[in-house]
Amino acid sequence: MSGFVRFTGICLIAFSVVAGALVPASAPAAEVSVATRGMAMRDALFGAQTALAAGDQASANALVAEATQSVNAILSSTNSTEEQRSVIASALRMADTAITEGNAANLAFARGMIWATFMHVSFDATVSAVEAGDTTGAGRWLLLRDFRPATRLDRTSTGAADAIRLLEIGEITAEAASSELQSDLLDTYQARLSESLRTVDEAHGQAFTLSMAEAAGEAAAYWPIVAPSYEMQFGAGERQKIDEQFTALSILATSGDWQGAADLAASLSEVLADFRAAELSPEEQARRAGQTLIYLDLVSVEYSRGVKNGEVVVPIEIAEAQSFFAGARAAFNDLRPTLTTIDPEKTAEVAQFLTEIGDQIDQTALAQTITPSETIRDSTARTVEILRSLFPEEWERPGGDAEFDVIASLLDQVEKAVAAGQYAQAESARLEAYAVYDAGAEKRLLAFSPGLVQELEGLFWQGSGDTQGLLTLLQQEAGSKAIRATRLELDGALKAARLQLGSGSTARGTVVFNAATIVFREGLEAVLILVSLTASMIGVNRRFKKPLAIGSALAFFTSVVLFFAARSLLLSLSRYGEKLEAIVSVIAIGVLLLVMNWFFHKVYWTRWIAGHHKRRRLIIGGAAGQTIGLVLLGFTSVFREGGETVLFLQALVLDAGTRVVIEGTLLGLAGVAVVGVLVFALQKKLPHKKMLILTGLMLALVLVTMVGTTVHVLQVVGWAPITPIANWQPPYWAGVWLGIFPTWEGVVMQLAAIVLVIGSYYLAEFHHHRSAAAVAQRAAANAVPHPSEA
Amino acid sequence: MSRIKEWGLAAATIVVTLLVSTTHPAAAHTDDDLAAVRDYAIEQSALQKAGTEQFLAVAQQYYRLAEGAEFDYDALWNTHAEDLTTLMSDAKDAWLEASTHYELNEGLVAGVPSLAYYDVLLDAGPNGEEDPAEALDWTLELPDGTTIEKPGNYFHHLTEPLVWGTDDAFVALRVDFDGDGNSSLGEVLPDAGIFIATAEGLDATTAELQSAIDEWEPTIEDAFGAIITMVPTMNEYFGQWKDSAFVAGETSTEASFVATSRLFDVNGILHGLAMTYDEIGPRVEAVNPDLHGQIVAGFEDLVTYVGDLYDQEAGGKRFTGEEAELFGTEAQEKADRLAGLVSQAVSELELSI
Repeated sequence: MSGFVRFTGICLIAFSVVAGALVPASAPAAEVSVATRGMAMRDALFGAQTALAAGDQASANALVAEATQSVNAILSSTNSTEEQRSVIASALRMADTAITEGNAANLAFARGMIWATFMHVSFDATVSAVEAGDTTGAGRWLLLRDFRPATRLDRTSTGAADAIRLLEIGEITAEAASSELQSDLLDTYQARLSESLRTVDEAHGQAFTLSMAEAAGEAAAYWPIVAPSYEMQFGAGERQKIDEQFTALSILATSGDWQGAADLAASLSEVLADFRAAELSPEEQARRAGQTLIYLDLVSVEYSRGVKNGEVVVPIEIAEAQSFFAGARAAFNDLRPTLTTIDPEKTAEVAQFLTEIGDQIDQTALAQTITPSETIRDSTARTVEILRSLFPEEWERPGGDAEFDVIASLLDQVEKAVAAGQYAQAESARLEAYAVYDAGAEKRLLAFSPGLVQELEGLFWQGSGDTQGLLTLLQQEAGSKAIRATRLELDGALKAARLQLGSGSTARGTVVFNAATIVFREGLEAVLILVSLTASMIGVNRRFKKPLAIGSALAFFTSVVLFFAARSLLLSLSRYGEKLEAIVSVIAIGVLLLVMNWFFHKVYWTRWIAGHHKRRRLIIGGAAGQTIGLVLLGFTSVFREGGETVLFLQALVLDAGTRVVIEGTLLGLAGVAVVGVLVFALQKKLPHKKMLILTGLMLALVLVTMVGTTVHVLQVVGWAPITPIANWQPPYWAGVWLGIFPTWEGVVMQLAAIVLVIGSYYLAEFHHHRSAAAVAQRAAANAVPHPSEA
Repeated sequence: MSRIKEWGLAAATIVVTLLVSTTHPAAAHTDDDLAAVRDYAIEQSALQKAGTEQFLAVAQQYYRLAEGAEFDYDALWNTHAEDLTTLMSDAKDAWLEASTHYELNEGLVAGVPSLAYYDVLLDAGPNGEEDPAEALDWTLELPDGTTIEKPGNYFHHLTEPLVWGTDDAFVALRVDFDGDGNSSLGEVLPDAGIFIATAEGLDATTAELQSAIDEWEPTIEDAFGAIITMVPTMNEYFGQWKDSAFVAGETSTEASFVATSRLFDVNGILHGLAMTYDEIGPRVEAVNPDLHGQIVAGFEDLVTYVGDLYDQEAGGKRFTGEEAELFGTEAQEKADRLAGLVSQAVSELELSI
């Protein structure tokens, strides 16, 4: 026996004894946990492998005997099936024989088979304990399990442990806990099965027979864990065929036919590619669907930033495109079995597209062949198009956890970029993260928890409470430590938002009230514009009310149509929500400014105009374009609010139900109607000049709010620069109601709007007085002298 | 290995296990545990800095000698063979000192987002040739104004190949330090310009890392995040080990991991992470003693396992590719399981990582 092998054996035995006695601190001293026994068994069998490799058969036999003791102890503590006990017993016999014959490959096969069968035993025991409500027992058995390896975008799932914990505190039923638990574990063991089959295939290429044999043993024993799910989905006959193939794989591996084993493993991998053992819950399916679409969208965005004119200009963008692509592909792979049942041809087409896109991005990353960004954009767009046609409607409902996953990925990018000192890159990722949040979760969250919206807004931008905002920190080029602190706050707030949106437990009254508030706020803005504009439309100008009303009615009608339009249209619009809002807002401001100019001239020149019919005709009667302008003004004023509100309401329907949303909407509209009637009544009762001044002020207020909000939206979509104002954090309501956000661009533009309004007034007054003086002067000059003066 | 040594080591294993199992009563925790993690990181970075300072001092002395010989390395070797032999030996010692203490800290540096940048620059990042997209975009400027774009990380792309002569671009002259008639691994005079530039950069970056660690206020999320991030990376490290000269021997074309085995790095990383868990583990023990017990056992098992492999290698064993595959896979299995258990602990503690 070599020194090392002896030493390893002694240590393993010593460690097993000590660990076994000490680890289950809360259990009686005599009770060694199954997890501890399981690991001791695994280590003993590995020790036997290394001993045999060193030619030390005696130590190998001793270690297999050690493993057998652990095996017996574990089996005695649970109701394993006859088949499981039989497989384990025959594998242990195979191990003994292999040692005697010096057949290291068969020992490896036996070890793989014993371990994976124990995973099956543990799986059954955990499920049984959960179904019996024995959370303590379930928790102990769950410690003897395999895990799905974590990836960069997908951390190890803790679904099974979470289910047991929730069952323990009474949050879920035993049935629900069992379902969650099985979902997590079946997903894990299917991944392990796939990995084992891949290893058999790949290890053959490298002539690593021990790895092949062990993986073959594992695969043959992992299969029975997921086989019942396969049988449920494909029938007993199909399962029988796969059973036979795994039996054949075992025979090939233990008889040393490595080529045959590798070919069969490759074939089994292909057959099982369209099978998913753990049926994803509808929420998980929607989550994966959302991830696939959002990640693919980001692939195109990142790639187009990284490649310009056939050259890689920003390599890190390509790396990010690779990351997002990996996320999209992983999510698609999880959905693939389900999608195949919907439309196998289209699913295969998507898989083909993804393979091509992945290869193209990888080649660009390696600077081998640079694929133009337009090609990637078109390919991803086509893939998204096919996926949308494949996805069931319920998968595309807004929200779920997908957007939160994507936001977390983007915030990871922020931190990574900051650590590398690339602040422009970090700011770009921050804006993308905010845009994803703003386009989806925020709109829905407004109805559930406005306070949380306020907190999140602050954390993304200038700060919330004592925590500095991400934007502020990036502008200051703060270090990773400060960024990390804000990130943790953001994570906490986003988690709260996810729970809030996912729980559906918010009081009905709260949702109705918040929905009504939003409808009221948006509606009020539109009403104020309309009231202000119609205030001057009296007498001869009354006819201008008509085009304005037509435009407004058109917008209201369009909004209603939009609400009842296909959900896919709304969802596709919501993806461009911010950009659409930016464009509509800029048009609205432009039209409003034109009308403001006309308004002030009209208001303060009315009496003067009334006396000068020729000029009036020039200004009013001859301006056909003004009619179109007024229709456009009416339309944009209302649709600007209506479109946004409809998107929000439609999203809310899916979260809170149609009835609640309609209640909130009607309440909001009733509020708007009351205010509208009051203001219109006031308009009639107030002296005309006072009313004009009041409505002029209202119009100015609306303009200032629109300018502030529009600048903010332009900043969000990256069309306007951002310069935060240090040490100034206006209250949240100032942003929501007045469009005041603490950036120099926003505030300066709002001040400019105020100056424009006041300047316009004084300019009008100036023109008015000058004209009046000129008229008076001319009148005086032309006056006939009084007879007394003559 | 003598029987006395075997039983002695076995007894030591038992003592270590006992210590790990008994030093953390399920008492209420405070942030003292995080302070201990930070103190550990500060201590290791200070020791690393001592190594890089020494490495820089050697480089400066070497540069002066080369400059005196007008960078004629044949002439330099002919006139200063003894000094150069000592200097290059000192350079290797200083490099090993710096690298060792970095590895003991790497689990935390690479696993904590606010420090991870330094891992890329010092130890783990690829160079532009290997991976143009992922390589850190920085430029090494030599005293004569020559620049190298995206040169990779300081330890394994620059200083290690430079001192051990595994990258011809850095070698000025191959020599025979030990007089055995052969110029074997590590018997080189490096280009003085590259030597001084990389030594200065390594020392300056280490100083920056020290400042970053000084500023770092560890959170419980940092500590658990480091473990969850770093433990599953064993697969990659074992892959590098399999491709290195320690396993592939003469057939290896890897320029890195010639001075020390990747197993040594893995050992160092695990040591730092196990120490971190030792500090924060009581928080897990308070909510789930069984889980805590399995995590402690998992760390102990993995550390012992990798330590054994390293001891074998240090004892002269050269593993075959298949053996490396087998041991690597087993290490990965252990690491996946450990990472999974720690993820469960994170979930039980309701932490957001």
